[in-house]
Amino acid sequence: MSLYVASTLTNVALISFLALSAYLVLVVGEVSFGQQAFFAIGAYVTATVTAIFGGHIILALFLSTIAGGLAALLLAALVIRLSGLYFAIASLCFAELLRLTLLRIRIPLEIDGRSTGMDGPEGFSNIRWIFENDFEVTDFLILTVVCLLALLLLLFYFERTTVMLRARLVGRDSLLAQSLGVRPDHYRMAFIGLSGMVAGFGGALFALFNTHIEPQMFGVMLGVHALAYTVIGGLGAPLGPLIGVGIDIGLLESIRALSEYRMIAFGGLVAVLLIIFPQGLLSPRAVNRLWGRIRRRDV
Amino acid sequence: MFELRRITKSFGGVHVLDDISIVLKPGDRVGLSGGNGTGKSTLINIATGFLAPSSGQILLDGHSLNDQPPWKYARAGIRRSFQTSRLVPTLTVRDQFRFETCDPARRRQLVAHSALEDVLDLFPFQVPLPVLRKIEVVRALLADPRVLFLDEPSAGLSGEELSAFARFLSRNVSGDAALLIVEHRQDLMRVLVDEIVTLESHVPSVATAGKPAEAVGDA
Repeated sequence: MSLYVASTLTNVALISFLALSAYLVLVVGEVSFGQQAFFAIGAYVTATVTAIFGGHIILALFLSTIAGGLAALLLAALVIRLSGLYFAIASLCFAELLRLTLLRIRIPLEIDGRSTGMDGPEGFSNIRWIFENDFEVTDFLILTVVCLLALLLLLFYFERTTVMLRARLVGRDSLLAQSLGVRPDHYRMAFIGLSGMVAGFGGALFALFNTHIEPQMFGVMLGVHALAYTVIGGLGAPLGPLIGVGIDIGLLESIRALSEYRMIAFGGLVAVLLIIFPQGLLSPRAVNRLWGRIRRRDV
Repeated sequence: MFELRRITKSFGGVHVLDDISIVLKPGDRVGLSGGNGTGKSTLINIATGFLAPSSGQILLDGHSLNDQPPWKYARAGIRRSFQTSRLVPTLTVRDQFRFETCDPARRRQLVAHSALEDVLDLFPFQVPLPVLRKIEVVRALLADPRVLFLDEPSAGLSGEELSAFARFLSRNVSGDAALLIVEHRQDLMRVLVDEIVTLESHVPSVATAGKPAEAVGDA
């Protein structure tokens, strides 16, 4: 496999974590333009743990996941009374606040003769875990894909549970959910927290793969893309966001002739797809119909 | 025992409910009737936590439920249906019944009694209105409610469908549950309820004659 293909596939897998985190928020009926914040937090935590403290990757991934989740819970706790447009704006503000704060934090360090640490707009360089552990790009691709598949399996299992069904109910009709004894704010908090964990985990891998991160990487457009992937992929199943990522990064970005016009092509494609499939390619209804056919079972 | 004690409700200056008291004991079957705008749905919304009363108390076994969110009412066993059928459009009928973690045997029994087996894999938009109404009631019954409020469950049903629906309700609402039903159709009321409470309008009727400007008091 060429280096280019392996890099592109790794990018698809890495951004899939972000798209899945946006998916989890959409499931409970909220639109977040701020998932890139948790992605950034995961990236910076892993950069700090591995490059500064020389911590193990497992510890770095764990701490990034927890940090992403806690940050998301903080956002959720602050804005739990907001919903719809107001929640979307609050999430965007949160992400921008974080990015602007990262631009201001300068704690440059020198470790083994190399400059590292948070250095404002210059970012965090020399995240050398991948080199120190002799990871080739294909090795990292395998690691990322295995993690992504594990997450997908977990989400697929989760999809058919009562918890997920109730979460979708909260997202669809909050009043009906309450009339059935479901507490919407708890579900919103839990799923936003989970989304932060997923983004944090993805961000951690992103930092390890890129070896250099900077605040500008986690701008608004990253969050908008994550959301767009989920919207065109559909909210019916966790595979939806991955299809969206595959179309944009896997297809459009890899066609070199389109490179200059990628954003235009992607924007046009989103518009066309949403006209043909307003609920996304894997709409909840299509997935439930398919599921009903596959698994006709007792009540 | 569920009790609405001296409930009043005003929207702005309009008094919709004025000093209403209703007691529902296990097994009670009460019908709520009254013309349009007399506050029937408002009363159900208050009794299920969806609206706060202007004054008065909502009590379950002597404990106040005032200021509690609707999900707490539901968890306490107070369930409702809505005036327009409210189901999740992207879920099949089978999945509409999975919000409750109830005994699967009970679920099977209710589905069998309600003759819903044939529509289990259909989506709400594929199901006729009388069946949708039944699905909503079955969904509420799965929780074994202590008090069940049905808001115009027969709306849109033909005469034949109505009697079938009445038979279904009387067979499946358990003897321990109290039922309060808002209904315009007296034929359903006669079959189903033991007592009818009639709400009367508290909005003063205005009869004016004359030119429009005089009628609105602008002359």
